[in-house]
Formats: sequence, C-alpha cells, structure tokens
Amino acid sequence: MRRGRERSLLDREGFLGPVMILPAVLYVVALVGFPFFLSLYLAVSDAKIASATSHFVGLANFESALQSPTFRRALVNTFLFTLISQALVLVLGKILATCLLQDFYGKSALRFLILLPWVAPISLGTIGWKWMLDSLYSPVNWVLQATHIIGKNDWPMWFGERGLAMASVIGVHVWRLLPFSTVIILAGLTSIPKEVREAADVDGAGFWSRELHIVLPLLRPILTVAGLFGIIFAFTDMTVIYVLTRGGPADGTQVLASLAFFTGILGGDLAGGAAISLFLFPILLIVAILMLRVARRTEVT
Amino acid sequence: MPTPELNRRTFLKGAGVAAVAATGPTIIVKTARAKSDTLKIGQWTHFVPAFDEWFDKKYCPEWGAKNGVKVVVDHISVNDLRARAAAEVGAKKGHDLFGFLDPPPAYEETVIPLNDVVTECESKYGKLVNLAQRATYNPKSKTYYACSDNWVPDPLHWRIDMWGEVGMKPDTWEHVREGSRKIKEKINAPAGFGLAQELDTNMMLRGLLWSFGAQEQDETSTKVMINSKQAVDAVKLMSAIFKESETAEVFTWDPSSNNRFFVSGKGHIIQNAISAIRTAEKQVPDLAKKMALAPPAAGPVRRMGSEHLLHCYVVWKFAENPEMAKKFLVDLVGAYNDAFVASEFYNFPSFTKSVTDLKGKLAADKVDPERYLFLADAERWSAYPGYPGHTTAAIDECFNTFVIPNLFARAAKGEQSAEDSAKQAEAEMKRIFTKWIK
Amino acid sequence: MTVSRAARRAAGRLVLYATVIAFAALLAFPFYWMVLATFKTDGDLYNLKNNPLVFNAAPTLANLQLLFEKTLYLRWLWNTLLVGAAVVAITLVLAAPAGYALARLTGKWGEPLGIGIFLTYLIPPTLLFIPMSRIVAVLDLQDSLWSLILVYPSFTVPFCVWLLMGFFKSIPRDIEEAARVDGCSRARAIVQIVMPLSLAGILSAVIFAFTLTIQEFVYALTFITSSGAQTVSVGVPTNLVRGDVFFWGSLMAACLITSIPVAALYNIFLDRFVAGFTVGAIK
Repeated sequence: MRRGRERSLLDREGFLGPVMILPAVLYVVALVGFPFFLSLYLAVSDAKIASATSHFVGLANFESALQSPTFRRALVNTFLFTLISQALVLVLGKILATCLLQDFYGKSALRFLILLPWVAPISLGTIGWKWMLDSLYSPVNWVLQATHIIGKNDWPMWFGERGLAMASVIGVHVWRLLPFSTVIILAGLTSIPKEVREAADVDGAGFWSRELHIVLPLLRPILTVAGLFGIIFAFTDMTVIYVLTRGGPADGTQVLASLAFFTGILGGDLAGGAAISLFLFPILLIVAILMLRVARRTEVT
Repeated sequence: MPTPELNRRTFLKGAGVAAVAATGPTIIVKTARAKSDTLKIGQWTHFVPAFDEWFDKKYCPEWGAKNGVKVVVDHISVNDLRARAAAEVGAKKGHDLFGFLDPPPAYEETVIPLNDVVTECESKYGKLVNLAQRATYNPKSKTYYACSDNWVPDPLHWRIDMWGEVGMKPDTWEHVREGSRKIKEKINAPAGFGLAQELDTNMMLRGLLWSFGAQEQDETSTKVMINSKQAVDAVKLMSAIFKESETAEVFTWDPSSNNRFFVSGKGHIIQNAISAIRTAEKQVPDLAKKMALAPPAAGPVRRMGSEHLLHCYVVWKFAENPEMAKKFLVDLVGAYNDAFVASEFYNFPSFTKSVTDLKGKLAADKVDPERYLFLADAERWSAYPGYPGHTTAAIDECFNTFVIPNLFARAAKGEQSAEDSAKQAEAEMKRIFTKWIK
Repeated sequence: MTVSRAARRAAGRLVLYATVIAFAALLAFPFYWMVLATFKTDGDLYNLKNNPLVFNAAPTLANLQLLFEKTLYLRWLWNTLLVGAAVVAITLVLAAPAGYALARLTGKWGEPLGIGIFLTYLIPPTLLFIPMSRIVAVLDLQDSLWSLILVYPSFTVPFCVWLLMGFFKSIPRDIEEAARVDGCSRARAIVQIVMPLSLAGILSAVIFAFTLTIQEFVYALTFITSSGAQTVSVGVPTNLVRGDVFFWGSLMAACLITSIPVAALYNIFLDRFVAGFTVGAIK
C-alpha cells in the first residue's frame, strides 16, 4: 500500500527535495552570485576604489599584505578575537540555557534582561559601551574605584593597552552575542523530546552523565551550525572594533575585517582591502564545508 | 584573459587634455540647462546643528527657487562618508554633489574635473588657499578633482589658569613640553595630545613633524621621506611629553575624546578644531572663560599645524545634473559670508575673498570678541597631509591606515626606539606608495 | 525525601539563582546606565565629580525631546518595523522548506546546494556592499526600503535554512513515519505534524531573522540616502553623532526605545518554547 502512495508526486523524495530547497537557493544565488564572484575577483586584481579598469594580478595583493607587520598582527588578533569570544559564547550560553530550562520565580523578568544586549542596535549598543569604558567617565571604573578594587590613579585604560583593549572588544562582542547563543541552545534543548530526557532519568543517569551522553549529542546539529555561524561572523565582523578602538592602540585590536575596511574603503585600495578580507577564505571554506556536513549527517533516532 | 587595458597614464593624460580643452575660454554658463529638475547633494552632518539648519532650510531652498531646481540635501555621518562614496561609485548612481571632509584623490577617475569651477571662483572670490590647492589638484593630470569651499583650522586650546600656575604659555614645542611637565607635577593636570588611531592625532602629529622640518614625502610626491633625523627628533619629543605629562588614556581616544577631556576641565592643553571650545562655551560657560586658543606650537624650523578638515565637493561622472552642480558650487562659495557665521567660524573659506572682513566677523563673536581674532592668519600656519607635495592617493591611504599615529605611539609606548619606529613607518609608506605610483 | 536530598535540591536552587542573576546583572547593567543617561542633563553627565549611577541633578526630558522633535526617529522605527516584518516573512517561506529538505530528504544535490548558500557568509558585507550597490542601482531600488527587503534575505536565509534543519533533525523520524502509516501523504505530514513540533525552531528563526534585520548597518547606510527612508540603526548615529560631538542622552534613549519592546516581545515568544511541547504525546 505504501508503494502505491509513494508514486504520488507529493510523496516522492526525488521531487519534493529539490522543489523545497530550490526557492531558497535560487533567491540567494540570483542576488549574491555576481557580487560574490566579483568580490573574489577583486582580491586578485589591482582595482582601486574608482578605477575604470583592472587587471588580474594573481596573488600579488596577498604577498603585499603579508609584508606588512600591521597585517600579520591583524591576522593573529583575528584568531584570538574569534576563537576566544566564540568559546566563551558557547560555553556561557550552554550554562545559561540549561538554567533557563528550569522553572523558577522571576524567570521571565530575568530572561528579559538577558535578551537586551542582543536586540539593541549594534551601533548604538557599542556606542553605549564607548562611554562605559571611557578613559574619563567610565561607570565601570567608577564602581571599581568606589568598591576600593582600584585606586583613583589606577583607572584601567580599557582601550589603551593591548591586552585590556583586546579583552574589552572580546567582552563587548560576547556581551552582544550571549543572548543569541542562549536562545538557540535553549530552543534546541526544548526540542529534545521529553521522553528522551525522562528515559535517561529512569535509567538512573546522573546530571553530568545525562548532559554529556544524551543532551550534547542531540544538540550537535544545532550547536555545530550556530557555532560555525558565530565563528564566521566573528571573523568577518568589525563593528565593535571600529566603534570602540579603531583597531588601536597601535594596531592592538586590528583584525582582518577592520584593516580591510581601512585599507580598501577609506584608503582606496579596493583590491588590497579585498585580499585582506578574503585572506582566510580558503580555510573558512574548508571548515564550513566540513562542519555543515557533520551537522547534516547527525541522525537522531 | 587580460583585456587590453587603458593604460592609466594615457587615460589620465587624455582626461587632462579634455579637461583643459573643455574649460578653455568658456567659464561657467550662467544660465544652465538643467538635465533634470533636482539637484542632489550629500554631505556630512555638521557638528553645529545651526549650520545644517541654515544650509538645508534657508540657503538651498532659496537657491533652488532662484534657479528653478529642487535641491535635496542628504546628511551622512562623518565616519560613513567614504563608505557611502564607495557605494555610489560601485552603483554608478548617487548624488550630484558629494562633500568629502578630506580630499579624495583616489576618486579622480570617477569625477568630473572642476577646473572651470575653480577658475570662476578665483576670478570672483579671490585665490584658492595653498593648502586647499595642493590637496585637491593633481599636477600630473592638471585636474582639480574636487573643489574646496571650506577648511577647518587646528589651533591649540589651553587653560589660562593652569598655565598661569607655572607662569608659561604654549608658544613653542619646547615650551609645551616644559610647561606640561611642570603643570603635571604641580597640579596633576595632564596634557591631551592624542596618540590613537584617529583623526585628531593624525593632524596634530603632522603639524609636529612639519615644525621640526620633517615631512612624509618630497615635493614631487614620489619619494618617502619620513625616516629622517628631524622626524626622529619629533618622535622623541612627543615620547617625552607623553612620559612626563600624559596618561595612557591618549591611546584610547577617538575624535570626540579630547573634546571631552578638555571640556571636563581635566586637561590643560589639546589641539583641535574649535568645536571643542564651542562645546565648552555652551556646556560649561564659566570654565570656558578660563580657556584660550593659540596657533599651533612652533618647532625649530617653523610654526605649522595641519588643517583639521578640508571640506571639498566632487561631481560624480554619473551625476544627473552636473551643470547645476557646478553652478551651485560657485554660488555657494559666493555665499560664504553667511556660511562662515552660520558655522560659528568652523568653516573657514577656501577662497580668500569669499568672506569679506574676516577679522571684523571674528571680532563680532557673541561669546568672546578677542578669542578668535588670531585665526584671521590661520592660513599662514596651516598645511595639509602630504606637504610639501600634493595629497595623493598614496598619502591618503597612509593617512587612513594611521601610519603616522602608530609611528609615534609605538615609540611613546616604548615598544620600539624612535629610530626603529621611523624605519618601520618608512617601510610601510614605501609599500603603500608602490601600490599607487606606477 | 531524605534530608541530604532536600539539602542538595536547595543548594542546587541557590546555584541556579546565583548564576542567572549574575548573568542578568552583567548583561543588563549598561542598560541601567542608558536609562539614567536618557534623563540626565548634560551638566550632570559630564561632571567628573558626579556619581554616574544616580541622578545628581533633576532629570530632564530634553534628550527625549531632541530625539522625537529634531530627528525623524519615529519614522525610522516604522521603516525598521516594516522591513523587519517583510524580511522575516520572506525568510520563513524560503528557509523552512529548504531546512526540511536538508534534514530529511536525501538526494545528491541538496547538500551541496545548501552548503553553497551558506558560503555567502564568507564574504563580509563591508566588501560585498560595493557590487551589491550596483545591483540595487540596476534594479532602480536605490533609496527605497525595497532594496533592503530584497537584499536582507540573502543573509538571513542561509543560516535559517541550516538552523531549521537542525531543529527538524531533532524530531525523530518515527513520528512522521507513524503519521504516514496512518494514511498521510508526505507533504501533509510535514504541514500537520512536523511544523507544529518544530515551533521552537521556527520561532528562533523568526527572532534571529528579525534581529539581524534591525541591526544591519552597512547595506542600510549605502542603499538608502534620504533621511525619511532610513532605518533606526543608520538614522540615529547619522543624526546624533555630529563630527566629534555625541548627543549621548538622545543616543541612549534611541537605543532603549528600540530594544525594550523587542526584548519584551521575544520574551513572550520564548515562553511558548517552554510551554511544553511534548513530543511524546503521539503514540
């Protein structure tokens, strides 16, 4: 009987699959296809911001970039910034999501507060942090001084020293994205069928055992995708750095995305900026393909 | 695969010839045949809201009515100007007139040469000041790729009472160093010369370099000259000022920071456009009475500061109403008596006679009739990035990637010696120059 | 319940509260300052001697007045809302079927295509916006909100596709099989069974797409020029950050007025997640 029904068009996987995925693919490709490949071409050309013509120059832009100590520093900073902030976001997000799964008094209000950083417009929220960590007016420093953790003349210059500046931009980035990862993980946790969790309880599994052996594997597709997106986003985002430190002090927080902007858009060397933006493209490409494959292959029975 | 290219030099030469031929005998047509009935202008949000009120709600509508055009003005945040320009060029569609706050030499290929506009303005409103000329003119193609209507001086702001405590005035850089040190020791008020990757630092440090006889490039704009004994001396001086009288906050600054620093009463000296003191006059009028302006400090070779901003308009090649745009420019320069006052003296005229009785106007300031008088000579002690050459695309990229601020910051932090830092800056500039100069 | 077990529960509760409160405090305290800044006078704000965490002078409505009277803030809010709603709708229509296809339906083209569209994220918008501007200009959509409505799904859809795939995957196949044994066609099974169960995922996709849309800056800056058609994320900094002068009070007011309703809305949505989507109901 099943075989008969499968012949109906709406049952056939071979038909349904492509039909369901094609609209999304066509939309994105039609819109972004040309710009995508043009951007790739820019990186291997000698185009300037207003040039009428451009030529293929192979890897010359990449070579030129590597010669610059600024670029090398930006490369290192990019990895630091991305990996540390993503690790924090995922770990803290998991903790928070697990907590929010429980019921407790005042949960709604607390959850509302937790959501705020993510929904604040990026440009405005970051401008707010500019003041929060300002060298003169910082309320953070004021509180630290008022609680006698630091002295009057020991105010940390949050954007003025390499280590602190990096910590600040990572901190603000994590602050912004923590609610996002929490929501995703929370939704994932909620989707885990109750009976699966209950079955584990009946079997006598302890809290940690249940987390590690049941919950995490079930979350893997979602965590992988969210994590991958977070990593790519952190590699290519520059808003926090641009607003807070402009890449300073002395290129201490310069990352590839911000350097590319300064070089390409502000400095006019469009091809050079493109090369810097896309320097990690091959690596990210491979990482993305692998992780997406993993996410898709995970099966739940 | 490589398409037969338009060799950049021949292209520019051709454009130059065409520009000269086109401007030749004809100056601007007085009655322009408008291609469309709208003139679109894009420019920054002026820090003085009253200026935008004057421009948007009074000047443009009146000019539009007189010329039978609808004038639309869009405002863009100063930080986003370049991004918007890049997008308009990428889209080949946008405004007719686009106002940059720093010269855009890299955009020369996508703008209409404005030689005719400059010539007409000069014939009517006096010569174009040297710093604007050098910064908007390409000598190789003999083209004005932009027309500057105003520029902004960069004077010292200092606290009369604090400097009075040590009986000094900030006249030369040596005075500044010594005075700042004494003030810091006596009353613990720091100096405010930024060492961050931002505009104010970029400008102030260039002034310091020039006062010591150092320069970024030579007159032909082809040779990098940053690694010189004079530059190293300037770097050492700033490192000393930092160590003796500044705090680490100067590495954290953005253009608004030194304003806040000075207006809060904490610091005893900064170098900035007059936006800082105007803010003080409005927010802390009592404290503002203790503040004064002064020309940039003098070094062993000369007294020189940089322009803080150079406002110039371009007319895109794809502008829909280029003739009207050019006429607007000429008339705007002619209206500078009003613009100057509406901007609270922020917009200094680029064409020397477009503001009549400059000194008289400065003396008629509602807040302090003496404070701004010395600015009448501002042009004598102001230069532009790339001095003594021209502001080229290469210099522009060096500017926007903060080569000079980092040169000083690395030495001040002690990460490198002044000599090594200069060597690194030289290497970086040479790398950038080879990208642009073929 | 033995005493030790009760004690452990209490301790667990304490840890729970401490953790959540700590997180909430750290995440929300800048907003506390923003509320103060909104109502502080300039003199109070800029005074170094003042305690920044309280009002030292009487609060004022001047900053709010500036925001509402001297800028087009309300118009920007409306524009942002419009664009957000439209983009969310488009995203769902495109991404939900695609996510399901990736999750359940095998086929050799599905995965490469799905990976392909995700790769658009590898080029940052700060580079992509230049060729994108050309497309917008060619379509004659410059300065229109439609340019944003058209372009934004290009970056909300790929992630939502994969996100929804993840959610669809965590619903065991058995449930669908059970429905089909009972006589449903595949398509009907999807609509009637799977979609309701994956509401958590769909709602997260909605929230994500909406947030990304209202936050976006580069495209909104470069595609839209006239003040009246701007969105909040561009309009506010453009008009309240003038050169080197920041209008802090009004800026923070704008931030709060935009964030608070959206966060409240999300909060309500999240309640729906945890309102007990018991998958075990079907037998």
